[in-house]
Amino acid sequence: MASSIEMDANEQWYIDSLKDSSAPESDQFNSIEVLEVLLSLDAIPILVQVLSDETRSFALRRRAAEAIHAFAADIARDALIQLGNSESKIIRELARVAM
Amino acid sequence: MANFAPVRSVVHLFLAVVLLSFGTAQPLHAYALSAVLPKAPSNAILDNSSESAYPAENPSFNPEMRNGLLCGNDPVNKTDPMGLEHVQEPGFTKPLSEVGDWSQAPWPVSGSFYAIGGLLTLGGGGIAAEAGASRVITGLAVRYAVPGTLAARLLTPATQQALGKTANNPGAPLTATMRLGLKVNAAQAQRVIDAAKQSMSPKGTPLSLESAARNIETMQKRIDLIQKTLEGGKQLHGK
Repeated sequence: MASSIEMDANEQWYIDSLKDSSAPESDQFNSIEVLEVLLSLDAIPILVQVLSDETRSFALRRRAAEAIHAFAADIARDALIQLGNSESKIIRELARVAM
Repeated sequence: MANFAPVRSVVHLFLAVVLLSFGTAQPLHAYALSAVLPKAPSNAILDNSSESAYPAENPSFNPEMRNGLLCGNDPVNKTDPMGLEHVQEPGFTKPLSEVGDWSQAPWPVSGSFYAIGGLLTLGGGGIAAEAGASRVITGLAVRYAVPGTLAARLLTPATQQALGKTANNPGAPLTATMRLGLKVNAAQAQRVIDAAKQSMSPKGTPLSLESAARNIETMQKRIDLIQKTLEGGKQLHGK
């Protein structure tokens, strides 16, 4: 009998850590990288949020765009297109780079 | 990817046996006929001797030597493909060392051996090549499928399905792509662990001890889950 996969408490911790924009950027980068390996679809909303948050660095937003595209290309495409229509030019640029 | 190599090798072996049977049919008939009928000599094998190969004209001919035997006294090491005489009799038969290779034997005989040799080589070589190629592809994918690369992205959907993260067929056997994706994901997790042991993130930025420990714990759980899934051989249920 195949067992089900539940979101690990640590996976939730990485997701929560991305919500705090005041957290050290190195930790935010690390969280994105770990979530990417975990193929965490639960992290997509917060990654999209990071992507659209202009208070965060360009490098971090770009990294979020890459991560979304890496393990959720279809979701990323929709999300980035939607963001590109409503957000600033830089978001569209991030989307273009990530695609 | 379904593994058809064993089936293919069995088919190759069967074809080889069939070809060998057809290939040897003519010589076997020749041997049977030679027991009752006089027969013309084979210029391909016989020496240019003045001694006649026709039994009726050959005073040393012994019919018992042709009772189903290829060579009357040493069929393993000597050759007399037309079954006329026993070996090492000057003017009639030759040791293999003098005959040369099988290409000089009648075509049904040589063709049979070439066919079975080729088919066995094809079957065995196919299995070896397939297994070798599979190992090479898996090795390369595991080594170079860094998150975000094209190779990793191509495998990601299958990996997510295997782990039940996206719509799948719970309890169904893992596909070859799923297995490869899981192995790649485990290798990626191991890289995170290796970096964390140096208090580094996967990209090489410094980490606190607490973050490093969390990375190790999280990735070890992922590796354990992948190993369990691979051993079980079935797709996991989703959430």
